[in-house]
Amino acid sequence: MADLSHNSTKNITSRESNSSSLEEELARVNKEIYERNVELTIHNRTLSILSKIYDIINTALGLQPTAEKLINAIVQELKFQKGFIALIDYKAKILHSVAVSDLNKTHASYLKKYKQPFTKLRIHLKDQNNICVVSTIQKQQRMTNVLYDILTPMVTEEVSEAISEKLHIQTTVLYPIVFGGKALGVLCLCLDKHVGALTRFERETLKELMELVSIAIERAKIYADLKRANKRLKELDLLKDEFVSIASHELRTPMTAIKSYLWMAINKSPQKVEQPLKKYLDISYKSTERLIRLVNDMLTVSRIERGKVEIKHLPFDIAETLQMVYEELKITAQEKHIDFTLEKNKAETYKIVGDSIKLREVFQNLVGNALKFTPENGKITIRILMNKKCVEISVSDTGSGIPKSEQKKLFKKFSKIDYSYSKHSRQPGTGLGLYISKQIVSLHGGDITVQSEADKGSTFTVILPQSKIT
Amino acid sequence: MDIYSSIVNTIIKQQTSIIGPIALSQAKMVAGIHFSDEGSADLQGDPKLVLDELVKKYEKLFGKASIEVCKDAVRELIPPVSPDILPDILK
Repeated sequence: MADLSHNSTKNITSRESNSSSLEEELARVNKEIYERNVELTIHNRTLSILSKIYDIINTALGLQPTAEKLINAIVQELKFQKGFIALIDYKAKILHSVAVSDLNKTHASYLKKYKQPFTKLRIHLKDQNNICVVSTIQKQQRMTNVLYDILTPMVTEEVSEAISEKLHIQTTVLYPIVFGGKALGVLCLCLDKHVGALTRFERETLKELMELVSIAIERAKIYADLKRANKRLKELDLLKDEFVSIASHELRTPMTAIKSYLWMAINKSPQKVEQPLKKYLDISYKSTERLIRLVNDMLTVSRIERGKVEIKHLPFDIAETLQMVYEELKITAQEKHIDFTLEKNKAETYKIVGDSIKLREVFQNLVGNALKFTPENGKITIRILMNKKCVEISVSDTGSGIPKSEQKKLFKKFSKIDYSYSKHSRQPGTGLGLYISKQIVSLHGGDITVQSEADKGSTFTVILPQSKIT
Repeated sequence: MDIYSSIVNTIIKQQTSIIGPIALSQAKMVAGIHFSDEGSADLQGDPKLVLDELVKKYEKLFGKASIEVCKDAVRELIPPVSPDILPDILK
């Protein structure tokens, strides 16, 4: 009996002990889960703020708006008293405020009384009494309980104390903004408590934020630099266009006079011009012609790029234009014994709306190129095809052709193709003809394409859309 | 709302964000905390003692980490709370 009782007590003790260890285990697991939840909650809150900062990085453009959005987001989300971002101007050797968090009306008008010391903060980099400069130069986080350390020499110590009291600033923490080892500036956060009273969430968020702030500022600076450079480039481009335009006008007049006098020397001289003088004059005459062509092309390019080219939209028969080009260049083709044909349906009219003079220049250029680069006894064909959507005019030749790698260069300014394609040409071009042609066709809403194969010839096709056709 | 009620409500809110509705049910078990129909807590008796009791309730269940959470909740209050009015466990 005594044994039974002893066993029963032993069992109860054992059960109690088991139950107690189970409770302990449950409590341990409970605490562990709680701690993990704390971690998750903090990360979640931090991530939520970081996500807002990412949005600012991705949407704000320009240094000032980015800095302003950043400082307001940080101060509002972390419920700090005030904050500002100051950046270094390495040229002027100063640290100057670029963004200050918004304040309520009372505080804003109070600071106005002291000439906005946060907004107008401007400190020489040599001023080692100012903790903003020290933190930036030494690239080290700093903090101070004395606002004068931040605002010196902008205001007196008394004024600093008054501001500190009015704005409830107890501590200011300074985080240097560093990117790629280079100090960019400093982020200052004014708190109404001691830094030791920062919560774990606030500490972790600030730690994570600093890297992002540096990236955001650097990105905004790069954007601002690019914008400045782009503006300068546009100004320079305009200057270049004006220079080209003026220089070309000034060149064209004397060049035309030189050309006329050379022609008179060759053709109207009272004495017969003997060789080799005639040869020299011929070369001079052709070179002058080429120069005038180049000047004219440059003027056209300048007008196109300044948007000064006006396209007349009048109905005309494109076949008539092509016939004129054909008649004009037929003689040159005959001289080279080139089989030159214009294929069109005589019964059909090819009425389109556009600028007949400018399009004529395009076809003069395309046929001129074909004549230039097609060897003797070759073949050049102009074809017109019309359908419901567009009119297609192609100029095909049996020249040396252009390899694919060179075709990309064709419609660019001053492009020179590096191939024997030009071996049949005695006169080098200006390198602007196809560029101008492409621009004129584009202004008509059309396009020029090329199909070519080395040693087999080329076909340039001009496509003009039906929307422009009556 | 007096400062203690404000502290208690902030602590309960913070704990709820971590452990969910259990934070509220635990708070309801603390003598001296009464909830209005809107769910806001009011204190009766010695507020410092009630606050101490609430923090200890959470500590018993979730350990020392829960005290830090309570301290952080108090630190986030605006304007800052003077440590003099807080129970020792929150200092």
